[in-house]
Amino acid sequence: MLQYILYKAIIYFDLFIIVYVVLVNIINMIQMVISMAYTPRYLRKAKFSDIKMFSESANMVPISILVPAYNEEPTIVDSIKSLLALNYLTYEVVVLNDGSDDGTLRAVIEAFNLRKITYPICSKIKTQEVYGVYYNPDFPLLRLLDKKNGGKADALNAGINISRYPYFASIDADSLLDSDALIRIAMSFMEYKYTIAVGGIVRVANGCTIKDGQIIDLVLPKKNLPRFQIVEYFRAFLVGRVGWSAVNSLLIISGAFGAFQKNAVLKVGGYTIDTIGEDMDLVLKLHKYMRENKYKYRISFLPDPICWTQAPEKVKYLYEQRRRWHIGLIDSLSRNREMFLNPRFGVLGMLAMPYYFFFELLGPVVEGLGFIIIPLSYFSGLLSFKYFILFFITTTIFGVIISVGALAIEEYTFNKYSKLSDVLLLTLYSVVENFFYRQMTVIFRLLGVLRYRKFKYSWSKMKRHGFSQSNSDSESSVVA
Amino acid sequence: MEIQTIIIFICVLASVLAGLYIFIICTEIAQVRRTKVEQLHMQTIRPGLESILAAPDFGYDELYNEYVTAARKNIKNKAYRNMLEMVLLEHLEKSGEQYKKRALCVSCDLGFPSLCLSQIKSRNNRNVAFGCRKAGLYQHEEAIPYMLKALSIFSNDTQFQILMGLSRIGDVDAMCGAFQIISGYVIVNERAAFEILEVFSGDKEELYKRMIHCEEEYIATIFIKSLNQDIAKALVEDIVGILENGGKEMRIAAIKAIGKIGQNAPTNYLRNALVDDDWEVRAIAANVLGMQVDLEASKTLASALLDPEWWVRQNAALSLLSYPDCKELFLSVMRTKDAYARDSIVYALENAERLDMLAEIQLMLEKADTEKTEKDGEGILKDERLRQVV
Repeated sequence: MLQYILYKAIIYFDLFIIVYVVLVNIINMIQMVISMAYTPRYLRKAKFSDIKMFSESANMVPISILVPAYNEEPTIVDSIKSLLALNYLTYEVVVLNDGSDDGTLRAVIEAFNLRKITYPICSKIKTQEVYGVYYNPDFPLLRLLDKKNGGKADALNAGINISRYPYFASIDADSLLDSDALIRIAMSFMEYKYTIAVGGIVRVANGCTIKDGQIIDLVLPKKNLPRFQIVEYFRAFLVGRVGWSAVNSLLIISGAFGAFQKNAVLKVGGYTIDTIGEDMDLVLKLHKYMRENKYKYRISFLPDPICWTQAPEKVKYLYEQRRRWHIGLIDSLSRNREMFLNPRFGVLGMLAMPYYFFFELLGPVVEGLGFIIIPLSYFSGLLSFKYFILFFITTTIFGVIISVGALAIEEYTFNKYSKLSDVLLLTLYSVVENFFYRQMTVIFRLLGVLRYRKFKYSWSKMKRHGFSQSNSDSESSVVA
Repeated sequence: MEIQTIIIFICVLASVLAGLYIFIICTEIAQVRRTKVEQLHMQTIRPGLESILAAPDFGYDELYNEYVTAARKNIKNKAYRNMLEMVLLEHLEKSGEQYKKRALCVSCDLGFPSLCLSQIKSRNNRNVAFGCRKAGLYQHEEAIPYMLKALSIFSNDTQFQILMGLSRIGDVDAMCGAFQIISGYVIVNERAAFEILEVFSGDKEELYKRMIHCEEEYIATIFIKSLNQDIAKALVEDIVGILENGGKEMRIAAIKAIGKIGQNAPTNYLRNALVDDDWEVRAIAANVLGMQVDLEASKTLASALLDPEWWVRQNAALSLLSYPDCKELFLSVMRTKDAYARDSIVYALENAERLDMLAEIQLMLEKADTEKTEKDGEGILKDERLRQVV
């Protein structure tokens, strides 16, 4: 009897896995088709929207750039220099030292010769104690806020309090912005007044040559891990985010680079401090607030304001990053669970939230079980060899199509990797990743599910190196 | 499921994948080819056109005719035509007046303005937007009715480009008509609207006079906020009227407009605005009183340092720096021991690099405190003496 129940359970699980895999891939393919239609049109529009004229205009929306920094000594000065060189007229850069215990504060003060000033802060959101504000009239765009450690979200909240402008962009201290990134993101707010948040694309900077905070030579990194991540980032941003943005159901704006309307963020109480998925949580809170109050709004993703980041080059750091991302996902979805399958929230509640729950959150659990049960059912004779192989080929081809599709979108539109050899290499990696890299990240995410309670509030520390070293492919590595 | 069905399914997927691969390779090759062609055309187009635009008046006509005749032959080539139009649009957008004038002549003689009409009539929103942008740059008045008609498209970049195009053409009636049509569904941000109004090439005063009294408050506010000094001076009576009767946003806009007037601005209205019920109005009034120094307003500004709203205090402190009696006023406010007001004053003085004044005020306060302590001490002594007596 027990054997029979086990037999039936395995059979049904096999069927469930097949349906699950086909469903998730069909959704991804639909998103890919949407992106294939949307991205070239967006790019054509971007070519004739008066970006150059606006970059010199005082009428652009003024933006405060918030740069939370915790132990970012090696990269912080380069990042600030890149931000001070942006092609934009009315903006300020607010560096938020979140109680770093390395030389971050000293590095910034010395590099820009800042001095402490009395700065009354309008505390719209409660934060940890602020120790002081630093400023140098020779760098009028820059201010440094030093505060007690309270986490990234707390630092960003302090930044919102001190910021002067009605829009703010949050940027990771280990990231670089393209010189036109801010103007492109601001155009979104300019052209549609109901836009409350905009996310930009994050690309991998490993291996690139950087001068004065700007990428001057884009080449593929020498190491395998960042190359896999290039393909993965294309898939996530050019397929996933564009697809969800098209139906105004974007659930996440990357913490590495996103811009927000300050009033809307203040209405939802700013960033949530006791979560490590503060970026996703904020977007979900904004959706919830706007839809509950029936306000007209848009949260969009743009594929061309580029933020360059250093991807982990070591498995250890990649594991910590993915675990953190997955814990953030679980936390954000559970905090906003009332939107789940709630018709009041439209496509967001009925499609995006269930997708993120079933395919993103539970994905590693189902896939992890699949890795065990499908071979088990083959070896126990429940699944024929032919079906086993065919299933494997189908899932692999699906995966490769999505990755190659994302690469095709990139090549057709932005064509950042202009060498044919680079493109061919990336297509090769989009095939190979299905046999090793994807399984590895599934395990990392699964560990995130299993260790949710332990690491719920933990931001792992990662070794960083300056951007100027990134083209030397040094041993050390990165990322937040 | 039959194995054959699965195999067919796999074959379909594999062919999709193969198609994508071929697409990527073709894209790469096409990209390289396109870049080469563009570079080739650019080598002839840009220098040729720029030599015409920069040519001296003497002998210009001959050079011009020669250039246009040659260009007419080449524009049958699509790549050439697109490149030439791109360079022309660039000049029309950014170059000086003489270049613009000449570039416009070249565009008209080559028939580019009439080509953009078909784009405006297109069903594709992006084409419409692009066509409107071109029509604006070519100042093609024939396009106005089509552009107004296209305003029914509910698309942000289309609305933006249509308004921008109309503004560049500079027809007051068309512009007023356009805002009338989109009244109630203006989807561009007010800053985008400022940009649109800034490039208006027609009679601005007439346009503003008509639009600042627009029934739609959002549109009227945009117009008031974007007034420049000259027009603000000319329309001062209308602005004062708005300050007395308008809604909150309009009052704020009117205060900002008064701030732009300079000498002879009706600052008495700003003084009244400092005690407005809405804190945003008070904050803006405090800010503007820093630009439009009104000696009679200094005491009201000083009392604004004790305002419950942060921004009002902050702006008042910064504005008071422009007043000759600011030291005395700061000192009197600091004596109230209001910590928020004190912080605002310290910030304002540090920000303006007036550290000498800050030190002086602090010294005076310390001196006053010491004197007070001594007096209090005497009081205690007196009490003790009294106690001893008792």
